[in-house]
Amino acid sequence: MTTEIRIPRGLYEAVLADLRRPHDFAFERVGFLKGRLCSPQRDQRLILLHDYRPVSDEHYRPDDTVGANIGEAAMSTAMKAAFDGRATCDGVFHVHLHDEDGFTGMSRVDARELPKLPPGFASIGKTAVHGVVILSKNHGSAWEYSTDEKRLVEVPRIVVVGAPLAIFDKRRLW
Amino acid sequence: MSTERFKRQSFLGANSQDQIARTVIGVVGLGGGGSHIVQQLAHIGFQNFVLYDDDVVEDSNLNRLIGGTAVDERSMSQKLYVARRMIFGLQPQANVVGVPSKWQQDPSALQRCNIVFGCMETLLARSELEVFTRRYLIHYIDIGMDVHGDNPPVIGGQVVLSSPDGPCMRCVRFLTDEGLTDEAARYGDAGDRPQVVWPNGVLASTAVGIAIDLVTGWTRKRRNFDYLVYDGTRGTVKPSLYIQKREFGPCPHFPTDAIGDPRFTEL
Amino acid sequence: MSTYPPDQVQELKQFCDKLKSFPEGGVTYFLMEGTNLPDGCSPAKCDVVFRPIDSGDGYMSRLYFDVVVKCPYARNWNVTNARLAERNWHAFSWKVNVTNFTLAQLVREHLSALVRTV
Repeated sequence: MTTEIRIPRGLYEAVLADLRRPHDFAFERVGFLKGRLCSPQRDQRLILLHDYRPVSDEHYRPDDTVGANIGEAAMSTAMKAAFDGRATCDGVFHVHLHDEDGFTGMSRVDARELPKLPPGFASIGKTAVHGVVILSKNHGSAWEYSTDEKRLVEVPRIVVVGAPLAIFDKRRLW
Repeated sequence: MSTERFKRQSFLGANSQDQIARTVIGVVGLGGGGSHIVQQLAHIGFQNFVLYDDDVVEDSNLNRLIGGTAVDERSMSQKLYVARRMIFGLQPQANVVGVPSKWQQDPSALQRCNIVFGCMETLLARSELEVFTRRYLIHYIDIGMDVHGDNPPVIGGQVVLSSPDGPCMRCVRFLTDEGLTDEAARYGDAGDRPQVVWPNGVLASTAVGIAIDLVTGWTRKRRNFDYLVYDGTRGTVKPSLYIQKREFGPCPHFPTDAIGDPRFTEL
Repeated sequence: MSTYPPDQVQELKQFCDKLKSFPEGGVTYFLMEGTNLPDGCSPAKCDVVFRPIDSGDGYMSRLYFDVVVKCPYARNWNVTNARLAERNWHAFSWKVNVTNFTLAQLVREHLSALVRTV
C-alpha cells in the first residue's frame, strides 16, 4: 500500500506565508493541518490536507535549544482537532518550515521530538491518519504514523494541486 | 530517456521534463478527442497514464481515431489497445493502466491521477466526472465538439478547465440546468453526432496546452480555470463571453471541505 | 445546500432500514438503505437515493435504485450507472409534477410507480 498527500495550492501558499512570519523569540513557527484519509482499503490511499491552524504566538515557550517549543495549550488545541476529526476521518499533521531551497528532511531535533506527537493523536482519532509535514521553500516531505509499526513512515509523494502543479516525489511510480 | 529528444521543449523550464514524467494523467474516452490527447502526451514525454474506454474500433471511427487503422477495424481492436500502442511506441518505459470499462464501474485507478482529461459525449457524464475529480483534488480538463444546423452547418466545441480551488463547470456556465434538461429530454442519447478529425485536433491541442501549463507553469499565468469556445467556421478559440472580465469567488457547488470519500449524516 | 423540514425528513424512515443524507454538487440527497419495494418487485428491498429537487435533468424529484428493479410492468430505465456518492445508480423515467407534496408523499408516489399499469 502506498500513500499520497495532496494539498490545494492556495492552502499550501497560505501555510508557507504563515510559517515564514517572524516570531518574537521562536526561530521557527509551527502549525497543524487536518488530513482527510480517503479510500483506506485501496492500494493507493490519499490524504487530502485542509484546514490549517497556526499555533498562536502566545502558545510558544522560549527555548534556545530548538527551533520552536510549543506549550500545552497548543497541544490541547491539536488534540481537540484529532477528537473532532473522528467522524470525517480527519487526522492531525504537524507542519513547520525549513527555510531553505530544495529537498528537506528531519533535523536531528525533529527526529528526536516529532515522533512523540502522533501517537497521542492516534489514541484519540483512531480512524484517521496522523503525521508530520516539513516544508522547504520549494519542496516538502511528510510522514504518516503507522499504528502497526508504531513509528513514522515516510510518505513518498506530495502533490500541490493548483496552477502550477508541484510534485514532491522521491521514487519511481508503480 | 535521452535529453536530445526533448531539447526543443526546454523553454518549458529547467525541471519541466521531470515534472512531466512524475505527473499521472487520466484520459476518459479514447475516441476522436481522447486519441489525439494520448498521442500528444506521449510525444511530450508523459510517463504515467490511466486510460478508460470500453469500446472497439469500428469503421465509422476511422475518419478521426488517431492511431486507428483498417487492421484494427477488421480485428475489432479495443480503442484501449490503440492508445497503448501509441504510447509505448514513443515511451517504452511508460506506466499505463488501461481499464476496458466505463470509469464509473472501476474508478479506483482514476483516483491516482493528477490531471484527468474528459472526452465524453454527454453533459451528465461530464458532470459526474467533475464531481469525482473535485472530491479527490484532481484537475479536470474537458473537451467536446458538435455540429449544429445544416444551412450551412456550424462546428462548435469547448475546452474547460475545472480545478479544485477554482470555479467549476457550473460556475462558468458550461453546465447549466437548461442544457442538462434538454439532454435528459432526449434521454441523454448522443446519437450519431457528427464528428470530424480537425476540430478534435484543435480542441485536444488546446487542452494539452492547458495541461502543460499546469504541470510546468511556463506561462506563469497561474490560471486555475478556463472555458474556451471553439468556432470551427471562423477558426477561432476564444474565452467564453461569460468568463471574460468576470471575477469568481469560492465555488458554491464544491465547498472546500467537501473533499474526500462521500460523507453521510445519519438521520 | 438544500434544506428540508426536519419532521418531513424523519417521515422518510418509514420506508427504509436506515436513513442518511449526503451533499453532492450543491444538492442534498437522501440515502435510504434497505428500502422496501412494492409487492411484485424483485428484489423486495434495495438501497435507494432520493433527490427531492430538480438538479437540472427536468425531473422535479427522482428516485435512484442500486439495481434495475424487475417490475410487473415495463418501465423505461433511462438512467443507468448514474454516479452518486461514489456508487452507481439506476432510475426509470417517471415525473411527479406536484409542488406541495411532503417528502414522504413524493417517495411513496415514486415507489408506487414501480407497479402502476400506466
